[in-house]
Amino acid sequence: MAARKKQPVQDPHFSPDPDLFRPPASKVWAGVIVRSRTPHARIVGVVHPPLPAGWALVLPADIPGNPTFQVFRGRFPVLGDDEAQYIGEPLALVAGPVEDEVRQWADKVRFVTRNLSLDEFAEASPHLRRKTITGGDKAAALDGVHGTMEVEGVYSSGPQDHGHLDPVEVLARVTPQVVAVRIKTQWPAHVVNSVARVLDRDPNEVKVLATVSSGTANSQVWYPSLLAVHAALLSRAANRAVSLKLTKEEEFLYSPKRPEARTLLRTILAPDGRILSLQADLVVQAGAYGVLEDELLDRAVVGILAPYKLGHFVVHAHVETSHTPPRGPVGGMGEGLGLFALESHVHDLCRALGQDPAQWRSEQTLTKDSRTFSNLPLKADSPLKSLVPQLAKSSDYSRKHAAYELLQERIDRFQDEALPLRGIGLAAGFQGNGFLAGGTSPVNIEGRLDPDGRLSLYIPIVTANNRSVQLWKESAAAILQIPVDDVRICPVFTGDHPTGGPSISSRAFEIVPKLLLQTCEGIAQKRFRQPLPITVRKVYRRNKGPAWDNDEFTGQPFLSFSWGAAVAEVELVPLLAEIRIRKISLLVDAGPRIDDASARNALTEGVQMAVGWAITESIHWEKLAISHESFLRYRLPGPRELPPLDIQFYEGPKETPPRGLGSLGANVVAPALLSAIRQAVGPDLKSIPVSRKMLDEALRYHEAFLYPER
Amino acid sequence: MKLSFILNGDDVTLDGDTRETLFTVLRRETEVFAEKTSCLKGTCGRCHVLLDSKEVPSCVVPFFQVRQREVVTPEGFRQTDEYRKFRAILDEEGLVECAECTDVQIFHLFSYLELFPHAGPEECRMLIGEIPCRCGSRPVLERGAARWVESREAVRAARR
Repeated sequence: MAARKKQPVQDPHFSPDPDLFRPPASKVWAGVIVRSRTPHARIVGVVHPPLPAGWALVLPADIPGNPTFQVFRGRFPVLGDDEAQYIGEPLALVAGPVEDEVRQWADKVRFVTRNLSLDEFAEASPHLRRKTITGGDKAAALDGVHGTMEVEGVYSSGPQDHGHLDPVEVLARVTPQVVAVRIKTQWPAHVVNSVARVLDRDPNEVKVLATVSSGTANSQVWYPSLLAVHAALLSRAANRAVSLKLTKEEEFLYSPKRPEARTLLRTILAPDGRILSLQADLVVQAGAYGVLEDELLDRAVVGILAPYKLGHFVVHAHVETSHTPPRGPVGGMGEGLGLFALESHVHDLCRALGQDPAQWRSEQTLTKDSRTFSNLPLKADSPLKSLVPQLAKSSDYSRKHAAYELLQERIDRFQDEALPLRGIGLAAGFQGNGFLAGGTSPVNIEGRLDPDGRLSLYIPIVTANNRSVQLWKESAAAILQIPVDDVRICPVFTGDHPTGGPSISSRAFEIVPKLLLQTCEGIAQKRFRQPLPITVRKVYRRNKGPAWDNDEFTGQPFLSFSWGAAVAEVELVPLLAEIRIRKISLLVDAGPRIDDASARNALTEGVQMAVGWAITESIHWEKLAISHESFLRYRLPGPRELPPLDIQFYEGPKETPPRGLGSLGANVVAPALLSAIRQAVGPDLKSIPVSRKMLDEALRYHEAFLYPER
Repeated sequence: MKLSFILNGDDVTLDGDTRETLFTVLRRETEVFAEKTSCLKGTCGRCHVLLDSKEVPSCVVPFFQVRQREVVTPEGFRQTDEYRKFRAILDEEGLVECAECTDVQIFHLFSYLELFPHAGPEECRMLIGEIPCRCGSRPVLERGAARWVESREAVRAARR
């Protein structure tokens, strides 16, 4: 019998019109954003050269629908209307046939501004939101309890760019029937809602074709949606397809960066090392409008409070807005900011106690039947209880740490300043999976088994991970016992199909496999009982548990936690003032691995992010704008900075589901690196990125300490 | 200004301005680089092409320089046997494809190996680091490059 030959079928459910989504280049106009040149002023008018015939200019008054852009609870104007809040804020949009000409025209646009009066300034000045979280006896936490030792330190971390090679690009085509958007985004559903809201259209009329994006929540959670709105406004005004491409520099200067954070931590310790009280003052810089300020701040606080046993605690958490571009999630959603401060502080307190940091961590981590900071009882020991000793053993941490400490004490015996200084650092932490603030789109999967035996799966996760896609196909094929080639993962295209988002690793690893299983089992049950095609849709529902209370800081903060610990070894040659990372070891507990290579890839990505955040990637502000020099000199870590990685997975109980680990590497490696550097050159370095200048100063201090006669 | 040249093995005639770069024209007039953006200063490696077998950043090459010459892009290189063989090695090593850099890294590596066939694994490692990317595929690329270089050496040794 001849083998059945299948003809390619036009999927009736997935048919993005090529004229709308991939029009010929000659039919597409270029859009350009006209940006504010002032950090803060009242706009009283706009002066521009005559607009060439047929070109489109969009000003705030031309917005047909709601002129505000919304992300979670944050809102800000799509185009700055009567007031500019930061340099680079979009104030107008222009489109024309040739990009260079449009850019030249846009450069000549001037906004007439006036400085704010004192009253106006007071009313509109950056605000400082404050939240106080307490546990135990607040008075005891503030005034101190009787203990043996008090340790205090201020730790700060700088901004970081997402570092993607491709800036965001949007193509939009608005017609009376449909609004078509092609965009690289992690959150197509947010694009749909944002465009519909601003253009005053029915969300069902907005169709988004999402092109592949990186997997981690790197700045692309909400920013592409804003650009999609801009492109759609231009397309509506120009009555043709408009492509909005940012230049590399434009994106570097104005896209969301990792927020800066500064944390003062003061702990009072019992003789056995227990933290009797902890006082923290945390300030997170959210930029203009404070986009995502709740999520960032709450996660940073959880980062400080979650890992260890605390007696009494009080955290004064502040989120500051300023006249600089809005910050966003880069290398994680915010817990890394708190973890960085806490783990750096643990370095200090172990030094003060004269205790091995690995031992302190495994003794002070939460144990079974103790209560979390949010007053939930723990059913089992914290994973750090096992992770830290295991990693310390495999990386020979305790012996090396003791040896380097001894070296520091006896260093005056060494007279050769060309000898490298060495240090080793340990840090532990977690990644919170899921969002605290809510407002994300539910994940749902649709599967359709067609009469020809093919299975189409609509999975609303935008991913470039070829291995994940192959695994999804294989698991679906295995359940339905059909060839893998007959399973198709459809591109993420909104409209009649499930949408969800944002696409982050915890969703891809934790939720999708479950829903995929349910969907395919649903089809299998109906197969041979119902006529084909059979369509099954499954929606993810969060397990019932104590809901997170954003104000009281009680309940279950995340869908789940992924835990990890890292050891970093560094070497510094004083003559070169250069940091060389000798090795990074990482041990993680993120449940069973669906795919080993994907898990290693995600952790490697996180480690690179951490190395950049801690050492190579620095951004300088000049007059409330990122300096041009920062753009030219910004450097992702290269092979010289990236050491051999030893990634191990904790083989724990199998009943837990796989969990996300996209930002876990960044969360734990950055503080481990700083601890290692501090052990090598001295404890005064408490902020990252560690620039060459900071290192040089620390080394000079070190030299003066060693050779006071010079 | 219309110029004729060979693009990925096909004779093409494209329309561009004298002030424009090769990258700009390719992006506008063809599907090549349609969804890519470059740093426009010749450092990111995203827009590299082979111009008469020499690797150049197309974002700083004037369009008029390609008249009657041959241009091969990463998309064109993707169709070659060498690419497929190397990609098979990478898949064995557990490559998680990066939408932004995988093809560019492979293209950059092979361009170098074309000029310096005896390059060693350490050279390849440094070479892969020349294209900066956030993705975590670098260790896999390094292992794959080392295997590729070793297999080439083995073939050469067998011929000798």
